[in-house]
Amino acid sequence: MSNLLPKKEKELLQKEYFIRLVIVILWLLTGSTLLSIGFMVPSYVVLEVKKNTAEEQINLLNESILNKNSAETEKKSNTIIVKVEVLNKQDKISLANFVNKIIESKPTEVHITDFLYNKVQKKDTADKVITIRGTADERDSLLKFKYDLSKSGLFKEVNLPLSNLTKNEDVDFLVNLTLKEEIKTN
Amino acid sequence: MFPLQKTKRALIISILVFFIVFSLNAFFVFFIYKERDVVSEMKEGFITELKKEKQLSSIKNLIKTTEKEQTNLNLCFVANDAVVDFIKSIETMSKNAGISMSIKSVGVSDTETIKEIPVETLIIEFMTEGSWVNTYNFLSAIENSTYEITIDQMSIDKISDSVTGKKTWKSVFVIKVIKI
Repeated sequence: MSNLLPKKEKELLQKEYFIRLVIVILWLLTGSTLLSIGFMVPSYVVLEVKKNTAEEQINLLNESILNKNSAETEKKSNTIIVKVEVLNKQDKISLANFVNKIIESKPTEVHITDFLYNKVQKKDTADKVITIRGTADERDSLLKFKYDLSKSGLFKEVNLPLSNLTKNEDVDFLVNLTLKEEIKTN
Repeated sequence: MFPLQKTKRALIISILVFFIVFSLNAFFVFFIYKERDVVSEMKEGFITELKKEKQLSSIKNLIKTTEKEQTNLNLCFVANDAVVDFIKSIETMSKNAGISMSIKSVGVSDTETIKEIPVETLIIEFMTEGSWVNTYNFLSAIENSTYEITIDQMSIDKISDSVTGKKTWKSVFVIKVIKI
């Protein structure tokens, strides 16, 4: 077939063809994009419904929590927790039991005139110390008293200064008893 | 003559329409993803709130069912408005034990706040005078009191009256009790 069109017209025609092809492709793309938007509409509707439902449920739940006086309940439970914690921290010893044990261990020849209970602060602990003051008719009775206290198992340390043993009769004495438990202060 | 100008205009319009539709699509996709995140966050929030609500209900039930234990627990502490009642109870103990008693000082120390609950230590110093047995009974009574009393310091001294020769025991106690 003979080519009747001039070269310039031919180029114009090719350009026209290319542009039209691009237009068709663009419209096809536009159409498919519109279609995808159309497909997304149900998802959007479902999401909106879910969102509204969740909002309603949360509101209902919040109302229910508010009706239950959550702040008051929280305060009550906190008070109970704090009280239990504080109770657990307390170092409870029975001084009456210790005093009773000292009296039980005391020979009749030993006479107590003073009891002193105190806490002696150490580095990060405090020793509980009972100091007993009194008189003993004989030195041996005092030594027996000290021995019995040491064997009672209640005291970490039974300290009878040697200066208390200089006299044989009518001995004035002072005994320091360190209780077995330690109090943690730090 | 080919209508090239007309075709070019159609191309420009097509490009514009495509970009508008494409932008709309992108916006829609972004919007749906955002909404999906919001819904999933709301669901998570709902589950958390639901758990909170269930916990609250169980705590409420627990508080209801342990009322007796709570009453016993409350007896261990001095209520904020019951300091006088506590002092009176110590005085009653001394009367019951048969010893005389006088309060030297009442103070508060170690004030701290735990979980928004103010916790204070009430310190009371008092002197007693009586027989050994009565003083010992008083000491036992303090230690066996429903209040969680800690004896911080104690001194019991035997005193002999120089005129009558009568022997009594004078004591000084420093006790601590928690005030909540």
